[in-house]
Amino acid sequence: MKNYLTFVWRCFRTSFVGDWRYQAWMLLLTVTALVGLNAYCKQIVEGLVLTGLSDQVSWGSYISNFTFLVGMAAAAVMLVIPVYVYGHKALHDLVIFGELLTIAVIIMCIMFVTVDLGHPERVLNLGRRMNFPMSMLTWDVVVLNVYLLLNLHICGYLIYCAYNKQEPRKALYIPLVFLAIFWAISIHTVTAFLYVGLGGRPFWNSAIIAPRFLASAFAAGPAFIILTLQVIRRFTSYHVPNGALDMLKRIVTVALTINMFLLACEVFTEFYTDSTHGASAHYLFLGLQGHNALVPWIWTAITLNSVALLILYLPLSRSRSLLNIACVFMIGGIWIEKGMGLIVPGFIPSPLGEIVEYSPTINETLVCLGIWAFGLLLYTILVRVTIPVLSGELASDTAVNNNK
Amino acid sequence: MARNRDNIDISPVIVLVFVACTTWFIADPQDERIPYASVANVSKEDISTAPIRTRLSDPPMVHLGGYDRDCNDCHRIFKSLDKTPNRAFQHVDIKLNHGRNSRCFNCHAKADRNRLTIYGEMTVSYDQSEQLCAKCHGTTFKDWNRGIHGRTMGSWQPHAAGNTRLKCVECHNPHSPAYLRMKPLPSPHTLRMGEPSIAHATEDSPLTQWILSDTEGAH
Amino acid sequence: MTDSENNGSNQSRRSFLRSGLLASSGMLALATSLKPLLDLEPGDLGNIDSFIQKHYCEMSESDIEKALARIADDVEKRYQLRPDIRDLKPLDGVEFVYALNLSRCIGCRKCVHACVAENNQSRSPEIQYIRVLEMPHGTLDIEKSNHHYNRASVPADSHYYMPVQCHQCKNAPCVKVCPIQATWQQDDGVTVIDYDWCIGCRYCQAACPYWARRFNFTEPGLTKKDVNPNMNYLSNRPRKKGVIEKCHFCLQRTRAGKLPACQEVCPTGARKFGNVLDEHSNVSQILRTKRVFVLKEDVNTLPRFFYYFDERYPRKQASSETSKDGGSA
Repeated sequence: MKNYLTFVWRCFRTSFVGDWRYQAWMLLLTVTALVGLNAYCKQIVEGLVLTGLSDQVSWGSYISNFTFLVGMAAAAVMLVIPVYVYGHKALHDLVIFGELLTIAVIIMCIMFVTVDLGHPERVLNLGRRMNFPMSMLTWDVVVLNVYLLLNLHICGYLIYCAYNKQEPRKALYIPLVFLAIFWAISIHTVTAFLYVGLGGRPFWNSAIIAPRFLASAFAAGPAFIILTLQVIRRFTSYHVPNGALDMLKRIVTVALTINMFLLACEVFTEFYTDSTHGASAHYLFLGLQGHNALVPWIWTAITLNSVALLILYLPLSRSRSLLNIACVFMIGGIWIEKGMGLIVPGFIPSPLGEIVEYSPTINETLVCLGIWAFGLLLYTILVRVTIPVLSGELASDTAVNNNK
Repeated sequence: MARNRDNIDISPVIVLVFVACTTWFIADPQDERIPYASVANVSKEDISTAPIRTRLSDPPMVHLGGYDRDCNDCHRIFKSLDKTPNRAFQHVDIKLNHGRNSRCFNCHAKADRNRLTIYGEMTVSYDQSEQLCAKCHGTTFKDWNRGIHGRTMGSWQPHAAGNTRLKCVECHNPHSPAYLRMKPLPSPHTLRMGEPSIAHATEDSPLTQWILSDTEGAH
Repeated sequence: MTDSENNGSNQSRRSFLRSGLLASSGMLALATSLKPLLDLEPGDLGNIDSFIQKHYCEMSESDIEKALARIADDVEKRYQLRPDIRDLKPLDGVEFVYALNLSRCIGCRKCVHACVAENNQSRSPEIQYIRVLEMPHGTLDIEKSNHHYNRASVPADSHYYMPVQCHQCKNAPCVKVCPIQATWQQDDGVTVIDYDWCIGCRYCQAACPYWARRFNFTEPGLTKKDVNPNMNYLSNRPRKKGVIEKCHFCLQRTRAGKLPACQEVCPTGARKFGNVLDEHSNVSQILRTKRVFVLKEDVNTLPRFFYYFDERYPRKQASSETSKDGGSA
């Protein structure tokens, strides 16, 4: 126990240590998170009226970000599968960064849902009464929290073993790794079912949404991990083999291709059928009756994704910097596509045919930025602490003595 | 925890930034205007449940020369013409706009002006004017009898004490029975609704294009 | 050795000071970022009694009495008037149904505003349970409707009017999706909301195909002069920010035998309300004799709100005079 507390204390200490770039980065994130917290406090006092939401568009940037991040959370599985199912060597030591990302991102997800609630304190009542299994939202609460616990356990156990320079016991984590693979698929499927199950919103009521979610998640998530690995490679001595990046690049390419294909399928269905149920799609892609707030967004997303895909398919992407650009484009494109491009148009026009547009307010944006900053802060700390542990620089005293 | 040689100590900057943050939070300069609409202007009369017309007494009374008089008080003296004249000499305020029902004695009993005529010699009092309407508007009368047509006030339980069922003449003017137009109460102005869109999609369905070409523009 | 030790202790003292300064400036920024919370009023987060209160369905008689007393005190504190607040239960052998005659509705919006006067909604920002849609002849597609008509007089030629409010669906998507069972259907068919239980996730709002639900984005703008003191726990008692509300067929009236406010104010008698389990009730007769339909039947929510047209002359013959004269024949 004492050893464990020492471990936690040392990790805590380590998270403050770094060169000036690290400290500046952490400062930036901390300040942004504080500004977000300040904005959220205002929202607690005034109510959700400080957001751009309305009775017509009742979910906006919070739920959009939540949806996108659930995808990011599921993405670790794209590293886990090659390693644990196919025995991919190069990625083996990097899986942990995917799982750490999952932890940070699920915490962000939970925060985004919390700030969207009118009465966050009453969430505790879920322990007293829960509409399970009827409500998809309760499923989401369950799967997200269990997935968080799974990943906390896997990462915590592996890192603590490395700290003690012990070989992790397979029985204690391998079954959970396989459970987590299944679970990763489930969190994103359940999140898609949140929307898909609503008969009154034809734009969402499409079976293709869940596969689309998964495809876009498996593109944006690994893309983010590629960027992380590039940073690790640049700023630390931790070994990131080329093979790992190539593998991730391949995964991202395939996932993005499938995502674009599914989007095209959706677009065809909506526009070729040309029924009145296509009004939301019309609004999104072309604008409806002079309302076209989302049109620039979705076309930006499509452009970003297309450019990213083009770069990935061309031999150009062997250049690491171009690969980075492709990843950034892809993450941006998918963020728009799943956020503003999927959640908001579901509400426009309203079920009674009224068109009320939505745009996030400054306060709402600050809250979003704050949560993003907090999540990145968390991920940075997790990575910052994990690297010295895995490379053996940070180890328990007994382990060091034993090795001597 | 050795620091690198090339490391620059940025702790003063950090402290400065935190202090700047503190100042910003305390000053709280950011102020976002929330677009509340003003409260809809609706008076108690606008949502009164009173009938839109008052029905006449039985028999109808007029106040003339200091006395309350019923219809027969005059019509006993002045003989009526056999046919409804093209132009009324009395009751000029009445504009008869009741479709083909354009003769006074279709409804008013010629012999007894305090009553209404049903068929031949059969008459009803003004209290039972619905019996007269029923002569032509059979289906509507049936609906009214079942509580389907017309206004009911009081309880949803049929025949509950205190229920009021309005009669035909409490909504319809018998001389011009079409229901009157009225000014609508204020339109909705919900949070962040913005300016309502003016142009609705122009219809090019066959129905609206050819049959209902007299459609007014929205607003 | 001593030199380096000295140096080390100096350094550690300096580093201690440095981290102390960093930490305290950071904590200061953290503390001041919470400043807006100072504006919270004592009752803002709901008092502890309402927080630990049980779900309505699990409350005993005495729990409900206590809750009613608490709400009455709260209303008195906020609006300086003592409400008559009750908890009316569904009546045996009663299932409420609404029927609306589209041939008769003239789109005057009296129902909208009578509802607001009855049910203690927020006036600013505006919350209304009923939307009246102006529909061009020749369509039942509500996306072609106009919600915002502001004419000199209604009905307009070549249009009909379709008021929409909560349809009290038997197969209600809002009840299905609520994660915390804050909304449920009672035996008389009315879907109610426990405003002390709703977490404000607005999932029901996304699920409702009739756009019947409204959210209190901020503290409701209701003033003393507008408060209706006849209140009921599950219907029109004043709400606070962060919860959902919607039409509940005026439970405070209908469970006491009266008619809903929207029905009673309707000047044309287009609105009909009653007990569908009573075969002599007006709604039973309408369902039997008229050609009724429900809105968006394809979503299979099985509404208890029916629309119908009946035979009538075309509107063109309607008098173009507006009613203000009331008057006699």
